[in-house]
Amino acid sequence: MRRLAAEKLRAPALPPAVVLPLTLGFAALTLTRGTGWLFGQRPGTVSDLMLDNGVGLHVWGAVLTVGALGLFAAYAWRRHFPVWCSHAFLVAAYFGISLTTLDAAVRFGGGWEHLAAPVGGFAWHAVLSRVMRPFPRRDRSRPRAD
Amino acid sequence: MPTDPSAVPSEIFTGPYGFLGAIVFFLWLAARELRRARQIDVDTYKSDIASLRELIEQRDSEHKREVADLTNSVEDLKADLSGLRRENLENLDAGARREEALIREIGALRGLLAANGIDTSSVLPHPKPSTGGVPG
Repeated sequence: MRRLAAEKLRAPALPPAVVLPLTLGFAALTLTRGTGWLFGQRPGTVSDLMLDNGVGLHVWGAVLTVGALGLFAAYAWRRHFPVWCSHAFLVAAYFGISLTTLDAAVRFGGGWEHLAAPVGGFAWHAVLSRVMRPFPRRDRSRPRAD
Repeated sequence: MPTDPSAVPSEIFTGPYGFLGAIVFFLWLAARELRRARQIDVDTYKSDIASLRELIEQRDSEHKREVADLTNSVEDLKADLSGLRRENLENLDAGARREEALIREIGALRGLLAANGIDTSSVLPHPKPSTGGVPG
């Protein structure tokens, strides 16, 4: 039973023994960043300041915290759709943060190096959510990494 | 910071709009995938039902053929049985007629022996009429 559930969560063409620890490690980093922003960390960069000027850095912190905790819970629950939802939520969060960080780098000289973390998180979760698809495949074939 | 914080505008909503746009996109994607998955399920169920119906029809025709074969066999056996009964009756009739002829012949022989003064009771017991193969 547990093995079948693990099969459902397996990312295609990406070995689960590598993907799962990386995903959980990145989620831990996301949780660290999110709780930091949520509980009063002051803006330290231009992009942080721009994030704070929009809806507030604590809101982005809450978004990242909810996404990371949701990802942990979904992996613990071992259900396909919640895992995909968590990845998609983090993709959306990192997309918004990346847009702001890109804006900061292009318009206000915020530094391109600050793009690495949000764009990396966006790319990682985007690849996983794209490969997973929202629902398990119906034809029981091995999914393609397209 | 490489720039003056006061130069950063106070109202920047690029990120939130991007976040909300991405959420809407993923909702649309999930809805589309759900429709496709349901369609795949429906198609699978329909093909399963069609193959099951085909299997049922095939088995039904096989059963009908077997029943027809068995019915033909029963009819053949009935015909054989009636033929055997008729033959048996004919054999019984023939046996009875032959027995009567033999009894008549024995009677004639008995009469011939009695005419010659021979006591037939010691050499030929009186024949008992047959029941014709019917017990009792």
